[in-house]
Amino acid sequence: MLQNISRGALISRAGTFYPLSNVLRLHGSCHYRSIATYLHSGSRVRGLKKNSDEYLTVQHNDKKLHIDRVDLSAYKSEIFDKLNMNKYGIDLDESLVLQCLTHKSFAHGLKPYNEKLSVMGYHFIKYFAIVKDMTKLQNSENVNNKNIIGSAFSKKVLSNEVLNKVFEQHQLQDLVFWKKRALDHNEGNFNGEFTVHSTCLKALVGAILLKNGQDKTSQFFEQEIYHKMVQLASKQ
Amino acid sequence: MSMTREILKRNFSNTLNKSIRNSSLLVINNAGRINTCFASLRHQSTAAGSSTEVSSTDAHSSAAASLSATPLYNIKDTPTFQDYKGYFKSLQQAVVELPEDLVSKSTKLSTLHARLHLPSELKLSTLSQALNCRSSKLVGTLHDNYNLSILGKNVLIYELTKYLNVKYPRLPLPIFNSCIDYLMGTETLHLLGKFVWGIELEKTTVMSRYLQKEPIEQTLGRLRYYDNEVVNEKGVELYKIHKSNKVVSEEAAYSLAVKSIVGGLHLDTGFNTEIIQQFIENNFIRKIPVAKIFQFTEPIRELTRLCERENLAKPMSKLISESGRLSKAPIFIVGVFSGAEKLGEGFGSSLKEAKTKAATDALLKYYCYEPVNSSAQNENTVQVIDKGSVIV
Repeated sequence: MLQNISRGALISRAGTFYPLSNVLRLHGSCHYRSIATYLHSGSRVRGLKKNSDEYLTVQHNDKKLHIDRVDLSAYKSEIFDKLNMNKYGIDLDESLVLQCLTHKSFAHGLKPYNEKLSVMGYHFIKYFAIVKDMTKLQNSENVNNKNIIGSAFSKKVLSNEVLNKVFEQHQLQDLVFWKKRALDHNEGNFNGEFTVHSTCLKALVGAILLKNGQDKTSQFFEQEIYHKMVQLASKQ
Repeated sequence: MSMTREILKRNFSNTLNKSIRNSSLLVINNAGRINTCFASLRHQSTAAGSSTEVSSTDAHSSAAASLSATPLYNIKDTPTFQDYKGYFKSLQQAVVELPEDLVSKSTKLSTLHARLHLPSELKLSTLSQALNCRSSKLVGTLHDNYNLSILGKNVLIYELTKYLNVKYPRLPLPIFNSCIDYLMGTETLHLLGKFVWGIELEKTTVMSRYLQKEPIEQTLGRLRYYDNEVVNEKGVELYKIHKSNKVVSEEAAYSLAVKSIVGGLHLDTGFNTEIIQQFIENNFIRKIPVAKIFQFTEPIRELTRLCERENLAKPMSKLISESGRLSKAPIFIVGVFSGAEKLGEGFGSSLKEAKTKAATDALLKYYCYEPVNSSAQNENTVQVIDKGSVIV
């Protein structure tokens, strides 16, 4: 692919110049030969390896976050403060908090991501909601309340849209690592924000459950998230 | 007696005809039973709606035509019908209200309760409700097992997800879902309910039970999932009797019943997690052949990506031993190494096959990893959190 090196640049067969400042890695320690790998920035060029700085960085408005250069303790404390997690005696590893807010789309799955945690969290949320509904149903004498299980409202409470709103109410959206479908389209759900944000929230719940047990998770979830979910669903 | 039965059948067919309307016909089969026939016969109602025309060459169609042409008795005036109606009402009332004195008489419910080693907190009435599918026409929506089945499904999937996260923390999501399906899929629950738990189906019609003078409490321990007013016979299919009541299959009905029993247990024990975990462990958790579910398309590439993510040295395949290279049946044993550490080993009749098998072996060892104290799932914390499967 790369034909020759001259005048501080690499020249491809197509005649494109790539500056040598992008040549970041040197492979091979043989004394007679060294191979330089050019890491490309910008639009995709077939055969060229991408500069990792580019795909390991996420941009939220004017703020850029590089996943390897995140101050993990500050990152964790910001999330803990926004979700009042210290109040419930919750403890999570810094790397696990970062994993909870890293979507599968980010860096082509090269970094730990939140898919399995979100599955665990979602099943907990569903379980918690049905237990709440059944308790309400048992205590209620009103016949109209007998059909709340499996109703449209109970489905709406658990929807991605509502979970996304809760996530945005806590202002966590600027801390998520994910890859947008298109950078220049931000309106509505074009990039799949609802799914990504709800996945992150579910993953946080799942991580708390796996590391801190069901009691703490139930307390935290009921106080900080569930009642907001019900409020938002009833407003819609 | 046979005359009375014939009269009842004719009048019964009349009432059913009204409910089924334009979508079905009633025919009498060789055994003399009333069946509904939808597929082969066309049924046209006249403007008056009192008589029907049938056009078919089928032998059954003539029987149906003659049946519809026969003048019908007014069933409501006969004492037999009033008696049958009373039986039906008391049956319906028993299933809806589930009075404890009646429920406690049901031997089938008691034996099912004992067979499953259910705690005394689970009431027999809840157990009976769990056997009442919405698709059966006998009860209204408030007294069927719909709510219990949703609760049971959520409890089951939550507990099994927790179990799998502890037991096999690194399973990729598609494999994880297959495992969940293996443990609580419709087919599994059907087999569990039918052959392990021994739940019986209510197959006989209300009419037959009335004619046999069967005690009402007998039906409470059986699974009701279709309209028992008409006979369920092989080759005769019922559908769209009521728009709101979807006819479910036997498998789905068993699955719903099993989920409902789990839901009922959790509800009656006051959402006690220890009891439900114990019940699920005893009844649902079994050995899963996890390694057999995997199918890798590019194992060598996937292993390279995995080592890159885990900050391990790039995997290298090395020939460990070989036999009969120049023969027609050579054997090569290849190991895949990351630095000095051996990740996996494979054999094959070619170097390429052995290398692929070694990479597959290494991947399986990573994904099917079981932590040493994985059995202690009741503890609050888990040791390993999955980083996600490698995307190739």
